[in-house]
Amino acid sequence: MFVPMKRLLLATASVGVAGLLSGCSCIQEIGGAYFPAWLLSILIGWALSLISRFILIRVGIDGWIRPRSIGYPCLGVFFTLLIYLIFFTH
Amino acid sequence: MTTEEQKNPTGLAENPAARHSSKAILGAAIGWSFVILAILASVITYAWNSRNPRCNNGVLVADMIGIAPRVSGPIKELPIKDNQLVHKGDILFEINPAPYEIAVQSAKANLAMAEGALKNAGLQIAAQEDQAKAAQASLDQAQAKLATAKDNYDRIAPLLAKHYASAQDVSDAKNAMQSAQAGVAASQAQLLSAQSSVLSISEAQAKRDVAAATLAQAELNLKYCAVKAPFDALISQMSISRGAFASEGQQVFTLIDIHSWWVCEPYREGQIQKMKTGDPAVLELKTAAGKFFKGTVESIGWGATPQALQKSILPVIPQALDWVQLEQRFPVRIKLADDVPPEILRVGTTAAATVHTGR
Repeated sequence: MFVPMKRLLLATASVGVAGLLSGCSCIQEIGGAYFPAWLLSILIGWALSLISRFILIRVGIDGWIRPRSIGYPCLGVFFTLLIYLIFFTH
Repeated sequence: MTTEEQKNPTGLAENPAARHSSKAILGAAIGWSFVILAILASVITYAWNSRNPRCNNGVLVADMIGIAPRVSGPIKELPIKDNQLVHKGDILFEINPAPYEIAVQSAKANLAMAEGALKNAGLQIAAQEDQAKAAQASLDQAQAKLATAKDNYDRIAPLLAKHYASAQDVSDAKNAMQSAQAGVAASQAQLLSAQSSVLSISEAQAKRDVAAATLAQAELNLKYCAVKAPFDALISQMSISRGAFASEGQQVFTLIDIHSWWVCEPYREGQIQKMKTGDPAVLELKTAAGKFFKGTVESIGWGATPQALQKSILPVIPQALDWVQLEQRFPVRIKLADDVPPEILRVGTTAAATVHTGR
């Protein structure tokens, strides 16, 4: 389970970095097609929330997170919007 | 994952003691802070997006014209190449001028002929006017003769009763008077004839004017043989080469006005509510990804054809009347600032725009 997750994370991160390197555009060119910035933000936000969850598991606080059902989705939304606001608004 | 975590992945301790309560508080604080952060970020993003509407589907456009010759003929000189920059007044191509030069010479000769005819007509008319003057003089003479004859008759006629004059004298005087009257009538008729035979110069003048206009047209046609750039422009879609026959009014290539760049962004109807003419915009052109350029909202389109209004002989009904309806979009014209490097400007470039309203 861990290895595919790691690969997925790497793939997501590389797409994100590629996007950031190309200048934080409103639309990102991937393989000849333009993707909206929010799509990229969601990918990065989702990856960041996954990383956060791993950190919180390591710290041992993951099980105590309340409200558990919406905590991590909210974190994903927060990271997504944060990435969008920082890199894709000008 | 470690073996310990696999046994107990949630991190929950087996013994809920005092440290649990502190962890529970921390967990709740973290969890709720996620919720609050998400709400906060949502509000900020919504506010930013509604104040700064963005559109990613735009294209870069410039004023374009199709260049067509005003006269027909084979292309003699073609000093330009496709995709080249030309300046206002530069020669784009030259049509073989030989037939148009001949037309100018012919028109010049026609004009000279018409001018000669006009001069001759003037002389002829002067002669006719002189004749009319002569006829007037002879009429005056005849009238003087008549007056003399009348005086003579008036003087002699009363003398017949007193026998101071013979009947022959009176008869002679009367005849002389009648003859003078006939002479006056003849002179009058001659004068009228002479006056009416004076020609008008206007016909010859009109013929000269026609010849002058024909020459002007011929000279203009000769000038049209050299086609010049009407503004600083880029050549595109050149479909002609040297020697080819260019027909009057038929487009041979396109000129892109390099001083008229603007971006056409199809904004959604909800987005244009706050937008107004003159609002600053940030533009991104995909020929220079990662760079941002300034722009200004020039105008917002007053209409776009909805699907149901597309022209047809029968009503157009969309295939699917979905419960989700897409927003209508209107073209927003954003003028590009002048400081954009020209090498990245191409008609049709994908352009993204963010308009800053309320600034």
